[in-house]
Amino acid sequence: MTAWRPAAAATLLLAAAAGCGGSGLHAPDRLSDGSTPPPVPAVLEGVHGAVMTGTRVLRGQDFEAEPAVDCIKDVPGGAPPAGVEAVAVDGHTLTFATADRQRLVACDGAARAREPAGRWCGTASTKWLNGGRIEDPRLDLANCLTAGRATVAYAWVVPAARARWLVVDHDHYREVYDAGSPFPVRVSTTEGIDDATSSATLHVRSYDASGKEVGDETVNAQVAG
Amino acid sequence: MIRRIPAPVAAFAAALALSLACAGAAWAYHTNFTGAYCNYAAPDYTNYFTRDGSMTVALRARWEGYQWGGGCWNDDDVDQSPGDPVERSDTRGEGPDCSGFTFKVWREDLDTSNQGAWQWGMLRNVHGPYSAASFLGGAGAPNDTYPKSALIRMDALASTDHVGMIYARNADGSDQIIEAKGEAYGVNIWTRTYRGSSAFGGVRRVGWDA
Repeated sequence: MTAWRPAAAATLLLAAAAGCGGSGLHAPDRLSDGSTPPPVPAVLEGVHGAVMTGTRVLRGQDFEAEPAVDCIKDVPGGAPPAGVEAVAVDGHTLTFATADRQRLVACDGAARAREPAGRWCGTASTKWLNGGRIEDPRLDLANCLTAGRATVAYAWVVPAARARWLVVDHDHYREVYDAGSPFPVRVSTTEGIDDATSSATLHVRSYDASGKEVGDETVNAQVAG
Repeated sequence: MIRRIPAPVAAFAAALALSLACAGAAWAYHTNFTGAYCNYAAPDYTNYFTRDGSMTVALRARWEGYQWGGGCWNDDDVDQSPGDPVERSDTRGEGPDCSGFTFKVWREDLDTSNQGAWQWGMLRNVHGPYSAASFLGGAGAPNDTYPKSALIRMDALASTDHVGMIYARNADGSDQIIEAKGEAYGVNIWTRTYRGSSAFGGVRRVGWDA
């Protein structure tokens, strides 16, 4: 009888762990716009708890329709030739380069905003340097909220060379972004935010088209400029 | 007799010399002003704040340095950290950047939903949650977009990349702007035509008592 109790407890613990997926990671079944996430690329099947973000490349007339038209209305030079819209779990973003390709601009969106001001709750802009680099991730955490009123932070991340996918670690899942465009990836999160220093910490890994990890980086971003 | 240095030893020595040279160059930027002089003291709540008071706060930063993502300075009219690499928030230099300067001068709260006014010490290292683009959009409870033609002193003009506050208006329609301009310039007052630029919008800190 006394030997049975520890064995039963261990069995229960194992069952509980199995029910939670073992790794403690659980991919969300909805993105921030309520849509079902696209399938995770087969080459990333080894990434546990992965959820794929939605990606749409915008060109030409796409910028004449909402929500893009509201994003570019104040940008000098008019509609850009191309942009990338990413729909993630906590927020969605639109990134494009200005017509002269000297600057990157992002509009940041979420389910709610502290101060509603249109379709987008935040913006960011930075110089776009040679080699696709940027000087600063342009952290934005001032105004965007999830439906549950959690602060959403946004930052640009430059994937490693040869990266096809960018994976962002969250507490309970891993978020996969398409890194196939020439732009840095604008990621969003409600985790790793430090209100006292107006900063955020992100752990990201880059994978090439074959699913091989080609980069592993902790990004410390601070509101600036 | 000349002894040849083995190739691996020479390579190691060269690499060591190069790394030391690079470390020296990097260290020259890192005055560590924030580590040596700045603090994280709690701000003092104030239930009465005026444009004149904020102008006084702003003028204490005049002639001081500029630090990307920064918000800590003294009042000795010298940039203690000149020549830091631009747009690097880890260089720990003296001074605010443009949005950190506005946040502190406007005596805002780290909680963007709070309109309350806080007196931050000069040496309190704080930037605040707003970028210039955030100010432009009127983000946060203390900030509102405002018609440019109606802006008065200590209101701000913001673009996606920069924000500065109105110190005085000139007869020709331009403004004297008090702003953290950049690493090479620090904080000071310059005549600007932001008000006439389509890239800039008006922003007002709400809740002034006078």
